[in-house]
Amino acid sequence: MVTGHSNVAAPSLVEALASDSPRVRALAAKRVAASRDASLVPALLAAAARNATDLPLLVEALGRTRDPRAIPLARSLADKKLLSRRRSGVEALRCLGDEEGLATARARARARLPDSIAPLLESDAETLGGALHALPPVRRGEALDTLYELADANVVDAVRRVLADSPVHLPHLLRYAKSIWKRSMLRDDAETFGLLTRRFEQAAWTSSGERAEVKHGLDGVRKSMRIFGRRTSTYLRRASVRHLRRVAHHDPAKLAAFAAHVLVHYREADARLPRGAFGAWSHAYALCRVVYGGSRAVAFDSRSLRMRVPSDGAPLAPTPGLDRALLRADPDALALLVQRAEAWPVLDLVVLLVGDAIERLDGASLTSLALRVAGAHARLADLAEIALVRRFDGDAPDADALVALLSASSDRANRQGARLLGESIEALATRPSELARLLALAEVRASMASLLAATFGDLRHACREAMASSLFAIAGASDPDVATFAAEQLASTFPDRLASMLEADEALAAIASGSDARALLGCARLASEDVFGRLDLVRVVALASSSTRALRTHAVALVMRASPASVVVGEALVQLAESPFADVVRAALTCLERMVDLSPSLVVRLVDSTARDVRSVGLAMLRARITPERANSFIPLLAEHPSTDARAFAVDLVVAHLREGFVPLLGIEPLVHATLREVRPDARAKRLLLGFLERRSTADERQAELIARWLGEYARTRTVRDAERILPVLARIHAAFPSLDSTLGAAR
Amino acid sequence: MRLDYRYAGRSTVAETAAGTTIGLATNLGREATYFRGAVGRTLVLREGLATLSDVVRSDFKYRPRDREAFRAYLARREATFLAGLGARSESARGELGRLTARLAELDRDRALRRAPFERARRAYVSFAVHDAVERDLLIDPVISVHPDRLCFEAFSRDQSAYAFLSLGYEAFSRIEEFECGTTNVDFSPTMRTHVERLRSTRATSLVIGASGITSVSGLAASSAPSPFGSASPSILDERKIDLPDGWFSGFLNVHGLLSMGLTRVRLDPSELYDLVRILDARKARSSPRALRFELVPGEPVRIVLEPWERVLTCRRVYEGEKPATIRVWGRDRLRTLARAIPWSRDVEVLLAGDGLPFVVRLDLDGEGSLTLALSGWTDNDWVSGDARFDLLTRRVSVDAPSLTKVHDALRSVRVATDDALATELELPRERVRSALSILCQAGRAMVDAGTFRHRYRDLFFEPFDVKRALALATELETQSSAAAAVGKAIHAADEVRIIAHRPVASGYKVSGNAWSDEGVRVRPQIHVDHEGAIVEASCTCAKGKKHGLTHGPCAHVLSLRLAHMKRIERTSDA
Repeated sequence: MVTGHSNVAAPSLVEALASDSPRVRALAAKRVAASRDASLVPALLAAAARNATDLPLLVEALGRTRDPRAIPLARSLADKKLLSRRRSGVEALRCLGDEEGLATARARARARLPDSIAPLLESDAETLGGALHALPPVRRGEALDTLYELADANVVDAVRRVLADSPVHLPHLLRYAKSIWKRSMLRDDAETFGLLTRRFEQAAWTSSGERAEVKHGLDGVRKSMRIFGRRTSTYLRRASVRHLRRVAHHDPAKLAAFAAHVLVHYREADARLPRGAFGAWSHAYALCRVVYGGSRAVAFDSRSLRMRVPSDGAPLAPTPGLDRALLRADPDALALLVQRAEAWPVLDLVVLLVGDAIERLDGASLTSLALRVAGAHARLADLAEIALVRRFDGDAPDADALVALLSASSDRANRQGARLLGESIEALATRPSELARLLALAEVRASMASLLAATFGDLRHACREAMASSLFAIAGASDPDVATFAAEQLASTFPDRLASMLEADEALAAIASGSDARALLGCARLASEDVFGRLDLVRVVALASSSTRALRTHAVALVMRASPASVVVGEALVQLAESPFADVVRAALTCLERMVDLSPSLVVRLVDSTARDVRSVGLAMLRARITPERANSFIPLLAEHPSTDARAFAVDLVVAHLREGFVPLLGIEPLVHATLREVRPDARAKRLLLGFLERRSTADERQAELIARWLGEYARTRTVRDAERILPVLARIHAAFPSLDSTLGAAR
Repeated sequence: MRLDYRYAGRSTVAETAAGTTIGLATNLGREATYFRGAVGRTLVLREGLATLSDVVRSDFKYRPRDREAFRAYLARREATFLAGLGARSESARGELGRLTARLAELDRDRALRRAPFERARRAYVSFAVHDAVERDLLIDPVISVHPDRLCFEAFSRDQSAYAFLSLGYEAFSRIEEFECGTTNVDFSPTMRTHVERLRSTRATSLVIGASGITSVSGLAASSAPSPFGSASPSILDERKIDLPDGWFSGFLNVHGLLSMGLTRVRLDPSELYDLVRILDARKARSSPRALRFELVPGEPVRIVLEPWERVLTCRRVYEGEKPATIRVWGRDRLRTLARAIPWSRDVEVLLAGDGLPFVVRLDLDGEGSLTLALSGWTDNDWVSGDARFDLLTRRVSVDAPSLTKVHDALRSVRVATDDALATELELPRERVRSALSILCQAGRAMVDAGTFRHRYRDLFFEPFDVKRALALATELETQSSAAAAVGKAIHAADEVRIIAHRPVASGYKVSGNAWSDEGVRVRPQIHVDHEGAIVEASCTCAKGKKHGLTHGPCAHVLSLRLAHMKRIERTSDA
């Protein structure tokens, strides 16, 4: 393939420039501009002197030749008011490197800027972009073009930002967007060219233009005309692809960058449902020309600019319409595609361009490769993974790449991330700041925890020491999650190192500090120290209800380690038994069950619990410790319990231990009511209670009267067993104490 | 409608050496209302609050099972079967069978492997749903402090049950201070577990104040604001609950029902216990599932449980004047009273008629009462159901000055009968009754379900606006239901006539005729008791014949009521 240019055609170009036909002159001027042949400068100057209407094209060509003889003409054009002439003049001056002429042009450009924009030229792209967006559409286009003419980096960046989300095809904007697009070609600004190419394409998919009254570029007369009609959009789309071809022919080194910048702007959302001979991407003319342009299986509809694909539905392999060697020649362009490309055909093209030479991906950053590993394009993911593994250095790990791998929603990326994290663990141990940055991600924390658990034994001593120190430093970090994680790992993996890092007094202070991480370290540190007398047990109990599991575990362990004989510990454990966390409750109950001399009041508190398992432990303890002397003190407490099991136990106590006499009997009234009118009763308790009442009813008249009153209320119950038991008791009371106004009569 | 709850503290129970303190945090968005006293009957308070909480969390509405997974399974089986039909060759069928078996095997393995995850997920979803319901849907009870008692009101989660817990001040051994008013209290599930710890053996205090428990004991964080009179307490808990449409009209419906002449039946607590026990033990698998009250004057009340026809013959006799058989539905909701039954001394059931709402009132050991008003059936709830009993409450026209006078008078005395207000204000009794009805409708007053007296109870945050209250009454009278609008139209077109005004033993019956939609004359009739309350209503129209009052009164009954009220108005003016 012939690339670059030669001056063999110079005589014919001289002839063409002298032609009477404007079309022939224009084509010749473009050809000269592309070839940059300085020997044609006289011919160009002569043509410029003869034909005023061709001046822009001729001056552009003169600028590209970089011949100083063109400067006067370029300066005169840069001074013009008409946009096309001024643009050609200024861009020619830029190519010619005429600083003086450019300074004058810049001063004029600044004077043209709106008042709200002019003071912001030194500000950052975001501020300037915001100000541009705030301009009315009628003025925004001109401001954009003027700013692009200035060509300062921040200003150009702002212009690109605004163009990226502006409807460039609308009246008042299209003219200037087109101007910027032309300037970008003259300036070899691939980024702006790519952006606008895709914006024009995107607009052409959805819009056939709209009619508006605008001032004509040549005569300045206001006319109603269609803006961005089919002809304009087709011209712009085709001209973009032509420019790529021209670059491929005359400036092959820049082709890859231009193509890459065009392709990266296509989003996956641009794809459409395939229909008939048109595939998902058939409407994307520039993309199809670049990716499939060389294929014989496809054909381009010259009117609609859509690409026809074979109807067999077979996947279309990328066959670039531009030279493959040129496309893969620029590693930066390939890196750009790896980093930003989204459209599936573009990803196919990247795979094709990389081919078997994985080193072609050396320009891509490790983070972008990591993201591709997690991507859905399997073949590119394979290549990216190979390139990543090849270049990843465990001794100088790339934290961003690790974060990208570990936080991705792909198993494959997570696995690879965990593996590379394992390789980097020794290096990270000595870099607390990078380690902290990594640990800020929950996914990294999870991987790190399992990694430390799995590989801790294999680490070198020095590495372990370094890791412990780093984790200790991170435990003081401001991010509570990171700090708590570091403390948790330190406490679980390096418990022996804690003693040397934290004095007992410091640990006590840490518990009271208010930081979960520090409290966790404090609790873990004091696990091997006898400081119970100085421990703030209330604080530790509060820590045991923390939502951080590790902190809970260490706090509970600390409470449990304290002397079991202590009343204070007993209270703390009873309090923990009411915790909303099952693990804390289990631990507390286990410890309580071992305590032999828990005070009766604490046992009653356990029994009073609304949690069944806690109550069961309390009842079991009470049952084990009950004596006839103590029983009567517990009966009133249990008699009012709202739970069936506790009341059943109270009935047992009543039957076995209730003191004789009217007053003790009166004290169980709530128990009698609740037991007899329980909707889901404990049958055994009910039976025992009725038997007990029957026995006590014959003791004396006052007790009999009381029992008769209670039972009289239930005598008519439809619960047959109860009624059958109650009625004989009432009858016996009536027989034993006829003077009583028994409710038996009423019951009957 | 959106209700804002802002609490400066959390309701909780604090136990100290001095005793137990129940702190109920009140809504800061409401008028300043507080109460502080020592509880005398702790168990009554505990069981009352526990029952109220049970009612609030109860949901008896029928919800069909989600069969989506089963349908998907059937679809998969169908597809496999059809694929098998399509496979012609023996080997293809064999291969399909082998693959199907392998797929089933893999599915089993996968299910086994994922079982812990699925279990955890179910637990989480259950927690999340439960938590969300507790947090977002349960509407905190409305509490009113009156000069003679504390009242808690709430609707159940399915809106079909209204619970009213009234605690007389005799249930308190000492009352230190109180300020009458109405507010919401934070009554979280945690609070319920704390309430269960109350015992009469420990001295118990009840504190209702802006920041709950922090108000008295300082047991919570020391930075917590002071309760009574803190200028701008910091907000600890803020919730916004979207009230169901017509939540306020739910209150109104209940009070409309209580304003009607109701049939009273008294039961022993053990009879209610038997009833609830049977309902708890057995589930009726087939219809009918009504509770049938067979009432014969002078005879013991008979309660029949359908469909088993199990009869409970009560000890007390029916004291009404004419025999009646009344069937009510939604009886399972009575199970929410289980906790209160052992502490009740007396039970009263108020019946409105077949398929109509009914009320169960429990006297809690003479210290308070718990009233459970149940809608006609569970799906026809108080809030969104179509039975509008407020439309039957008496309503002569009330002018703005009269309504303001009644409002101000009731607000100053807090609790009064209509007669007392009529005497005090020197207004016709019917007009006062109508004014009270409008105040109930506007959420400014309530009918005490225990004593049937009117109490001042402000449901709204905004000050009373007499014009809005009258406009709301007019709007509800015509727009709250189609029947109301049609009834009004019939009356306005003078197409309803009172043709008879017949005295009966229990009051009088008003008969009329009106034009129905079908262009035929229908005969509505209302039965008014001596107090002027409408006891019964019937009509010969299609709706009246088919539904009676279960879907609310028909347009003809409502038009007859309007004609009747107009006549009363003329008489009272004369």
